[in-house]
Amino acid sequence: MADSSSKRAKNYYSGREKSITRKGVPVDGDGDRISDLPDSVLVHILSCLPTKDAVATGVLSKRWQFLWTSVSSLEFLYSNRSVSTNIRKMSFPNIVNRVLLQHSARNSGSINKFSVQYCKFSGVDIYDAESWVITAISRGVRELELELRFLYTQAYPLWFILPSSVFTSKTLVVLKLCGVIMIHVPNSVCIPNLKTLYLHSVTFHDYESLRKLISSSLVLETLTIIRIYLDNAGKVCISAPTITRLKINFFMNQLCLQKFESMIVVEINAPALQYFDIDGYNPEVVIVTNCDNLIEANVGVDSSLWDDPEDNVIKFLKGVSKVKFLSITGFLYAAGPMKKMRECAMCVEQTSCSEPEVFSTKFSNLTHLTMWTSCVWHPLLRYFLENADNLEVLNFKEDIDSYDLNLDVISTEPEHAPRCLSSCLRAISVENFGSNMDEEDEFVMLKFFLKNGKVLRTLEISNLCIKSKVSMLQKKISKFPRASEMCEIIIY
Amino acid sequence: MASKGNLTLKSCNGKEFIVEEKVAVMSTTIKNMVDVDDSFAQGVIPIIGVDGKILAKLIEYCKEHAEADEDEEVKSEEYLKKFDEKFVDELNLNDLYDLLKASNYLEITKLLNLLCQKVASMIKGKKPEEIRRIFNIKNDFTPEEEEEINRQNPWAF
Repeated sequence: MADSSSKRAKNYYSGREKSITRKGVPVDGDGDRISDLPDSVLVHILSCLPTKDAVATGVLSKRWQFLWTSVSSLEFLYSNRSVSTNIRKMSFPNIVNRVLLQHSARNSGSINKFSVQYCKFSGVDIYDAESWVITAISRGVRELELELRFLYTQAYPLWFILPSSVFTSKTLVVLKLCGVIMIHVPNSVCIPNLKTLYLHSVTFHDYESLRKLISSSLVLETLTIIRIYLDNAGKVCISAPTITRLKINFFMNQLCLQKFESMIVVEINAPALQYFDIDGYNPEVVIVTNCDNLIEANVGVDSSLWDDPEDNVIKFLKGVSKVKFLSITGFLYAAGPMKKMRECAMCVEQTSCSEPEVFSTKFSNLTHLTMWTSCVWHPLLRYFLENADNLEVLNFKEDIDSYDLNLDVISTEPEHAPRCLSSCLRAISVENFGSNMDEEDEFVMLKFFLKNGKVLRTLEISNLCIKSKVSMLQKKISKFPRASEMCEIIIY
Repeated sequence: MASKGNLTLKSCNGKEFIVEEKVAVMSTTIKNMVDVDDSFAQGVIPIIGVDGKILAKLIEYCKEHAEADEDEEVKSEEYLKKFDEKFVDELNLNDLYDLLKASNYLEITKLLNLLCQKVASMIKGKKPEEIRRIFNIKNDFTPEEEEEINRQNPWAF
C-alpha cells in the first residue's frame, strides 16, 4: 500500500512524461491505474462526458485538475435539476463565463462545439451571451448552438442580437439558433464553410437578413427554418445551389393568422434539393422551381389562403413533380384548384388543353405516395393516380389535424383504370379505415383497387379501433373481385 | 510463418497469434507498419507492451468488426452493438486499463472510443468521492487547495 502511494506521488509531479514512458507496461496491483493512462486517453474519456461532469473531475486530484480544459467541446445546459449543486450560489451565465475563461486560459486550440441552452434568459444576460459568442467565434468554433428562451415577465420583448462576427466566420460548419435571438446580417458577409443552418423561432432585423444569410452561406446543405409570428423574415426566398435538405415549418397562433397572411410567400429555387419538408405553414403561395433532384417531399400546406389557388397549386405540384417519395397533407380545403385538377386529370391527353405544360405534369419518378386522407375518391388522389405511372406503394394515413375535413369526395370512380394499377402498384395500406364520414365511400375505393390492381400483392388495413370489425371487413372484402390472384388481404 | 493474407502478431510475453490481414489492419499502427515495410507482412510483428491475454481480447474485437465491415448483412449494426456491450461489460478494471492503453498505442479508434465511453459512463453523474473510490484515485490536494478549487470550479460539489 505504502509502495503504491509513493509511486502515485511520483506520478503527480511528473505528469505527462511519466504516463507516456509507462505506456503499454502493465502495473501490478490495484493502484491508481486510471491516472497512469496517457493524457490523450483521459481527455478522450472526458470528451465522452457532459461538460458539467468533465469540469467536475477537476477536483479529483492534481493529475485531473486541468485535464478537462483540453476537451474541445463545451456544452452548457440549464436545467432545474442542476440547481442542486453550486448553481444555487452562482448564476448560470456566471458558470458559463467561468468555465469558458478557465478553458481559454489553458487551451489555445480551437473549440469544436460550443452550445448553450438557457431557458431563463433575461435582459441582464445579454452582455454575457455576447461575450460567449464572440469568444467561441474567435476561437474558431465549428459548431455553435444557442438556445435562449426568455421568461415572459418583462413588459417588452427582448432579443439577443447575434454578434456580426458570426457572419464572417471561416470555421463555422454548424449554426443552430433558437429563441429570443435577433439576426441582423450586414452587407457583404460570407460564411464559407457553413453546411447546416437551423433557425427555430428566431427574429430577423429586416426583410433582407434571411436572404443575405442564406446567400452568404456558400456551401449550405441543410437548412431548417421554424418560424414564429411576426419574425420579420419577409418573403422567404431560398435560392441556393448547394442545399440538399430543406425544412420549413411554421408554428403560430391561429389568432395571428390574419395579420400575418400578407407576408408569407415562399420561393424556392434549389437545384440540388433532395429532401423537402414544408409543414404547418399557411403561406400565401409557395413557388418551387428547379428542383429536379428531389427524392422525398413532405407537404403539409393549407392552400386556402393562396392567391390565385387555381394555378398556383398546380404550379407547385409541377415544381415537386420529380419526387420519388411523397407524403401529402395539404391542399385539402381548396375546392377551387381541386375542381380544376379533376378537369385536368380527365383531359390530360387532350392537346387542346388551355395550359398544356402545367396540366400534363407527370409524376414519373413517384413510387411511394402517402395521403393523409381517408381512402376515398377525391380530386387530389385522382390527380396523382392519373399522373404517377410508376407508383408502387400507396398509403392512407390518419391526420389528426384534418380529421373533420370536408373532403371533396367524388363518388364516381374513373372510367379507365389509371396506368399504375395495371403495371406497378403492388401495395396499398390503409391505416385509417373508417375515418371518412361514410364508410361506403371507402368500400367503393377498395373495391376499385382490387378490381383493377393487376399486380397488387398486398392490401393491408390496419389500426382498426373496433376489433370486432375485423371479421366483418374480411367477409365483405374477400367477396370483392380481384384482378390479381396473388393479392393478399391483411386486416387487423 | 503466416500464409499469404495472414499476419503473425507476437505479444510481449511471447505468445503468437496468426490473424487475417484485414483483422490486423483495424489497428492503424499495424497498418502503417505493413504499408511501409513489406518484411512485416512476411515475418512476425512484435506488439510491444501488450501481453497475450490482452492481445487475444484485441483480436476478438477486431475480428468481429473487420467481418462486419466486409459484410453488413451477416453482422448487422444491431449485432455489433450487442457484441460491443457484452465485450465491455465482461471487462474488469485492470483489463479495461490494459485495453485502453493497447488500443491507444495500436490506434484501434473504434475500440478506443468504446472503452472511453465505458469509463465515461462510470464517471457520469457521480460525486467526486464516489469516482475516487471506483477508480482508486487518491485525493492529493490539501484541504486549503481543495477549498480553493471548489470555489473556482462552479460545478464542483
